[in-house]
Order: sequence, then structure tokens, then C-alpha cells
Amino acid sequence: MSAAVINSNNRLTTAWRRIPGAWRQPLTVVGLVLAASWLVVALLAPWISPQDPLAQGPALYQAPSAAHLLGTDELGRDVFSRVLWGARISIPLAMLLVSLAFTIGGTLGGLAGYLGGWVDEVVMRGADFVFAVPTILLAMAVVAALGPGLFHAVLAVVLVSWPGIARVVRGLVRTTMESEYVAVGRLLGSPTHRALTVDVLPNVAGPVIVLAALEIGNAILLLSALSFLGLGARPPDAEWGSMVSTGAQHFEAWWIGVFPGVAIVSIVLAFNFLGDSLRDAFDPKAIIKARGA
Amino acid sequence: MALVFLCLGVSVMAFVLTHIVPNDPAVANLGDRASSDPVAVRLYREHFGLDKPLPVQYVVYLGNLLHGDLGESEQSRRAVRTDLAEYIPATAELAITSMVLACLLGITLGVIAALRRNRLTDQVLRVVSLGGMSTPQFWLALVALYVFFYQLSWVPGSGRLDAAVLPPPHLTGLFTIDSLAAGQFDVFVNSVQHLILPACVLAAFNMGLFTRFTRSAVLEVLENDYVRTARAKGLPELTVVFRHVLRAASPPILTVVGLAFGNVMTGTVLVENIFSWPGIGQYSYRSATALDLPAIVGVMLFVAIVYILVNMVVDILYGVVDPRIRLA
Amino acid sequence: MTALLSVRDLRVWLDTARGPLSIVDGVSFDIASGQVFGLAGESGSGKTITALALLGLLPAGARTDGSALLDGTDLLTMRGAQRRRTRGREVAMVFQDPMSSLHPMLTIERQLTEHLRYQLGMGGKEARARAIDLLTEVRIPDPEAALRGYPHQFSGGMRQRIQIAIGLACEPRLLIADEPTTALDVTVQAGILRLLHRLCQEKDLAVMLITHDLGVLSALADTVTVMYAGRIVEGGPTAQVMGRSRHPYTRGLVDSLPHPEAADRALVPIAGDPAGPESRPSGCAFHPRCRYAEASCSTTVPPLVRTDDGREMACPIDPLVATLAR
Repeated sequence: MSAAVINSNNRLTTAWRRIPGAWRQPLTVVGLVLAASWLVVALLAPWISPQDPLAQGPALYQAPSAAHLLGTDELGRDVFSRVLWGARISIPLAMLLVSLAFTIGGTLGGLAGYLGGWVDEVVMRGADFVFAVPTILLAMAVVAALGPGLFHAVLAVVLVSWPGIARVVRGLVRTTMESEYVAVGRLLGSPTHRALTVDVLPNVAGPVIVLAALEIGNAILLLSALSFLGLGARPPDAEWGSMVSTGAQHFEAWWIGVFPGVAIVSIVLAFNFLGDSLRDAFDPKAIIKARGA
Repeated sequence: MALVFLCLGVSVMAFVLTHIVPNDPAVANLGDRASSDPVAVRLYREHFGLDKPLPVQYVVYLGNLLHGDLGESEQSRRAVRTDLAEYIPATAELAITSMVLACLLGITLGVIAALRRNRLTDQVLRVVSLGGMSTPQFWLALVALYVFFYQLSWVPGSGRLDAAVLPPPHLTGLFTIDSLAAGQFDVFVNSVQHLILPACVLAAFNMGLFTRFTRSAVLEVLENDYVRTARAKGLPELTVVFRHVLRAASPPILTVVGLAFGNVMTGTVLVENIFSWPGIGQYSYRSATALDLPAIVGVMLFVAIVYILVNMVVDILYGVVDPRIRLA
Repeated sequence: MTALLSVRDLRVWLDTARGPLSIVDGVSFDIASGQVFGLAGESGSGKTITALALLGLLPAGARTDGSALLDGTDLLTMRGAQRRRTRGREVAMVFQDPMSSLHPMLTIERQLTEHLRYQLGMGGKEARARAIDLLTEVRIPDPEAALRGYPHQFSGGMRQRIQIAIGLACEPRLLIADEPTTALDVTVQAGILRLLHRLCQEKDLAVMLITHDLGVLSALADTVTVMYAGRIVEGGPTAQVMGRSRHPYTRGLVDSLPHPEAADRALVPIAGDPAGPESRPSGCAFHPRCRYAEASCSTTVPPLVRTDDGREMACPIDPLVATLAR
């Protein structure tokens, strides 16, 4: 009997086969469609937006109309075009940020879980420090120290989001390493790299994908919050968070602030729908436990 | 012990982070005219010890910390401890109210979602809870202000009390409690009116989080044989759910509630700024933009301590809930 | 002998993605007070589902048909408050796994008294006194200390005794014990079985003992009913069913038991695997495994008929006769 056969009894691996079931969830489809359309918007914004997002027009504070679907802002810019262009800022940055956070968190967490000992100790204590300080405080401190700007905001969010990933990956690697089928595999003489690729990787990959979907949503939220506070994107940029911030100063023209916010909600919701149904397909306990431990 | 260790770590992290700044705090705090005057800058640096090497600064800071001295705010020119003491009660009132709201709503909705698994109710609650977790708090705060204050005028717009209302005599610093203690019912009503909107906005994210976690925790418990045993005794369904199921589901829920205190603090920074709520969220934002290092480190330390204490309480509660942990 | 519980043509379906799945397919039996009614069969034969149907504890998506009259009241059609009053007070159930069937975080006192308070309206003191009586009755040493304890502090056998005490608390008239000894050591099993037997006689209690272990039934049950694939194949007084089984399946079960007086005799296992609800053969569900099967067995479902020696059996071939004639 090979290790792979024993492995098939494992809940996490069988969960891969349950993914097709996730598509029966209507909300999964909604999430997928929403996320996909935002991706398309981000790619095609220069061609599908009716106007230049930065071009100031003569008509200020126009309520939504046929000419300006979502109205115009205090400088006469077309809100609809700005919202579409906003996807070109938030989505690539969120992806960059999440891949950075996953590279750092995944590597550190994987090493901590696999090697144990002092490596584990150092990584996890480091993660504890970051956990103990609220994300936005830390991000604010980083941005304040480095100076405001989108790139600094991204760095700040990476700094606060790697520990969550490291914890989950560490927990998953550890439980997999301690599980009986890995022990049996060792007894049967399969080498360590085989244990890693055959046993550990498939078990870690699923929950990590779920986490990635949820993290992208959180990253967009945090990034836009920093921009809202004036610590990320600066005013002329068509960034959703700073557009909401502008809207806050022009209450009577509600459309300036409301629509960029709707954009944020819809894209974050899309990723949360996806992540949530994928989590149902995978073992929900694995993630909860790894996060809570 | 862990507490001391973590405080040290947080203070080092905060200290290093805020001292490797390319921006000069002196410039940030003195204003343009003064910062072009080298004497003023030198005096400023000497006053705050910024002229000494970084390790020396840290040791001095740590020595003061042991005496409970968090240093002096470069912005307000007051002891950070005094500042914190002034702002903490406001944040505490807001954060506690929102946590209570989020727990009550989130846990109830999570139980309902689990019992109605995969039916329409569950799907609706899934949208509601994930919606709560997907809505930027700063935007929700603005929309809520626009609707309930600007359009409907149901609630006052900002602050903890109307300008014409005097704060109740200081007891806890929480206006709702202080006003009741002093028998000032009108002040109580006024403070609740001010509190309700920011607290609800702040609760939205955690409400969603608690709903999701409660749902999955309850679903897992429902599969257990002892739930069937409880039903076989003929107990009413509500008793089965709240005494047997929720009890067994509580450890993971407690864990999330503990971790969620971090979310609340993140939320307060945004919500307090929008609602002009005079708490540490607003204070830390002002400090961060002004590069007020002692204030930033002070807030971070305070929040880290709260976080640790909350999680210690959670650990104790595990034992209260689960006898197997108590004996181990 | 008048029956306390009279089940007629009980059917249970489970809704699945591929349509309704028949789990229990027309089961009828009677249980009398003061008697142990044994229900035997392999796993998947529908024994447990039959019991859960009586208590209305079937999983979501299950439907029932037929009747189960307890003193004239149908257990299957009950709803709401009436159903709750019946659970525990009229019919109680002891589950298979004593490790998982008790709430791990509640004290024994709580688990033993909460239905006393709710069902019988007892006060705290009264319920506590009754709980101590109950624990004494099931032979738990130091009942007062036990009340303060939690399930994990007790051994498997003790936990099963506590489960029985919980079941007996409201003095039900029918106690259903689902594989009560399967999870226990053999030495502990005997004690639990003696306890059930004693309670049955002292309290004029009807006991429905569900097990896959015929050995357990031969020692304890007054009557034995054997189920296979959702149907009853043979039923009657224990001595007859066990001693002179006539249905090929029952014979197979008996032959696969170790026999104390003939240790050298080889055990004869039944060939093949039991038929699960998804893949029930047509006609007599046992025919693919039956050594006496004829062509007609795969097409017609044999009716359960009363034989001249006072048992019921669902096999037209009657292997007893067939073997004698051979």
C-alpha cells in the first residue's frame, strides 16, 4: 500500500472532490460573476469608461443622469469613469499585496511548522506582536513613518497581513505532519520530500486558496481605509477610498461618495462569497483551528 | 510573564518602526517657520531626547515605562498617560457597546443560520453576514450619517453629547453609566442617542464574523450524539439549542470574540474620525499624521495590553465552559 | 399477553439527491411490558432507524408511513408538545456510544435532572434526591460524588450506566437500548445486560434491545426479531428463533456464532456483504447470499407468515425442512 492510498482517507484531500458541489451554491456563482466582471473592468477601463477619470468638466455636482451615469464630482469629473478606473488601482494592488503576504507568510509559516524548534518560536512570537496591535494602527504607524503614498500603504498592509497567513500555514503543516498517514508513510520508508509533496502540499493548498480569496477582500478593505484616511492614494488619483473621503466633504452630493463605496462592497463581497463557499467545500475546521490556535 | 514579554516586543517594534522615519518629527510638529530655525529644532530635539542615539533613547524610554511613564506627547505637550486617560473611556464606551451588539446579534443569527442550514433563511443570513464583513466601515459610517442624520435627523451627528449638554460627574468616564449613577436621565438619553449610530456601524463587521463562526461551530456540534440524547429526553428545542448546543459550541466562538477586539480597534480609528468621537482612535490618527512618536507607542502598548488581557480572560472562560480543560 | 407497543407496517424513506431511499420497508412487531424484545441484524439493516422513528428523531429529510401505537396513541404522527411529553416519559432511549452520547461539558447532575425538572416539574432538591436514587439503582458507587462529576471522569461501563439512569429518570414504559454494549469490554457488557434484565423485571418495563450480536440476545431477550435490508425475516420466542432457526439468514447468523459446547466446530460465516439501502436486491433481499435460493427468490418478496410452531418467517423454502430432506 502506498502513501497515496492511505492519503485518500484524509478529509482535506477528499474535500478537493467536493469543490464541484460548491458551484451548486447560487452565491458562489454570484461571487464568481462579480469578481470576473471587476477583473474585466480593471483590464478594459481605458476603453469602456466614457470619460477620462481625471478630466475636469464644466458641470460640477451633477446628479446621476444619462450624460453622467453616476453624476459628477466637485471638479466636474465623471464619477462613473472614476469608479471604473478605480478597479485598475485596487485590484492589481490587492493582488500584488496578497501574493507578497502569501510569499512571506507562507514561507515563514511553512518553515516554522516544518522545522519547529527555535525557528517556530521566533516566527510565531513575531506574529504575536503584530497580532497584538490592531492592523490599522500598525499600518498607520508605518505609513506615517515612511510618508503617505500608495506603495507605502501596500507595504504596511503586507506587514500586518503576513502573520495571519503564517499561522494558518504553520498549523496546517503541523497537523499534517503529525497525522497518522504521514507517520505511516515514514514507516513505509517514503522520503521526506515525498511526504512534503504528496501529503503536506495537497492538504495545505486547499485552505490556503480559501484564505487567499478572503485575504484579497480584506486587503482591498484595508488599503481603501488607508486611502480614506489620506495615508494611501492622494486626491487626484481615482482610488475608491479617497473618492469616498472626498464625498464625505460634499454631503449634499451623495453620489460622489456612495458609488465608490458600492464598488468596494461589491468586489469584497464577491471574494468573500467565493472564499466562504470554498471553505464549506474544504474542511471548515482546519481553517478555524489554525486561525484560533 | 507572557504579558511582560509581549509588551517588550511591542515596544521594541513600535519604537524601531517609529524611529527609522525618514521624516523628521521636529519638522512635523514645529510647523514651517519654526522648523527653518535651527535653534528651535535643536531645542525641540533636546527636549524630547531625540539627539541621543536610538538604543539610548529606548533604554531611557523603557526606564520611564517601568514607572508607568509613557513619555510626553510631542503634539499635545502633555504626558501621554494623561492623554490616554482622557480618551480611553470614550473609546471603551463605544467599543464595549459595539461588541455587545455584535455578540448578541451575531451569535443569535449564527444559531438560526445553522438550524436552518441550506434553506432560504441560511442563504439570506449568509448574504447579511458576509455583507457586514465586506462593507468598508468608513463608508458605512458615512452612509449611516447621511441617512439617519442628514436626511432623517433621527440621531445627532457627532460627538458624545450635544454641545449644550454638560458631561455627567466623572465616575467611570463612560457617559451612559455616569449619567445613570448621577440620576441625570436626560444626559443618559442624549449620550445613548450619540452612541447608537457609531456603535452599530462599528458592530457590523464583527456581527458578520460572529455569525459565520457561530454557524459553523453550531453545525459541528449538532452532529454530536449528545444532542440527540438531549432531544430524546423530551427537552424543548430552545433548551437543547441554548443549553446543550451553544455550550459545546462556545470555545471557538470565544476565541473569535477575543480576536475580534483587534477589529474593533481598527474600526474605532475610522469611526471615531467620522463621528468626531473623542477617543483613542482619533487620538492615534492625529498622532500618526503628526509623527508624535511617544503617543503612537503609548497607544500601541495600551491596545496590546488590552488585547492580551482579553485573550487571558478568554483562556479563563475556556476553563469555565469546559471542565476537561479545567482539570487538565 | 397484551402489547404495550404495536408497530404495524412501518416504512421509512430518506430523501436523497437521487430520490427517496427506502430504509425500513414494512416492519411490524409487538412489544410487551416486562419483556425484552430483541431486534437483531447487521449494520444497515434498519434497526436503529426503526428505533429513531419511534422517538421522532429521524434525520431531516426522512418520511414515515404505517403506525406505531403505544397504548393506542400513534408515535409516528405526534407533533410538538405531545411528542416532547412522550420522549423520556413514555419512551426513552439509550444510545450506542456512551463516550459521545453524554454532554462533555455538563455535570452528571444537570444531565440527570434537567428532564426531571422539565418533564415532571420537580424542584431542585427533589430532582437531586431522585437522581441519587437512580444512580444507586444502576449501581454507581458514591452517587453524590458522581453527580458533581463530568462524563470524562467515568469509565465506559459507568457512562453507559449513567445513560441508562438518564433514560429511566422519568419512568418510561419503553426503554430502547441501541447496541448498549457494543462499545464496551466483554466483562463490562455482562454487567450492563444484567442491569437491563433486572430493571425490565422489577419495573415491568418493556425493553427494546437492538444489537447485531445474537449472543447478547440469546442470554437476555424474551423474543427475537431479525431484520435484513429493512425487512423482518424471522421473529418469535428466543429459544425457537435461536435454537431452531428456520430462515436461512438467521441460520447463517447463528452458525457464525462461537458455540461454548462445541468449541471445535468451525464457525461458518455468511458469504457476501450485507445489502445497503442503495443497492437492495430485488425479491428477497437476501437471495444473492442465500445457499438455498431458487429462481423465484429474486423476483417475489416472500411474505412474513406465521408458521405452525408460533413464529413468523419470510422464506418459502424453509431450510429446516430442506436440510432434513437432504
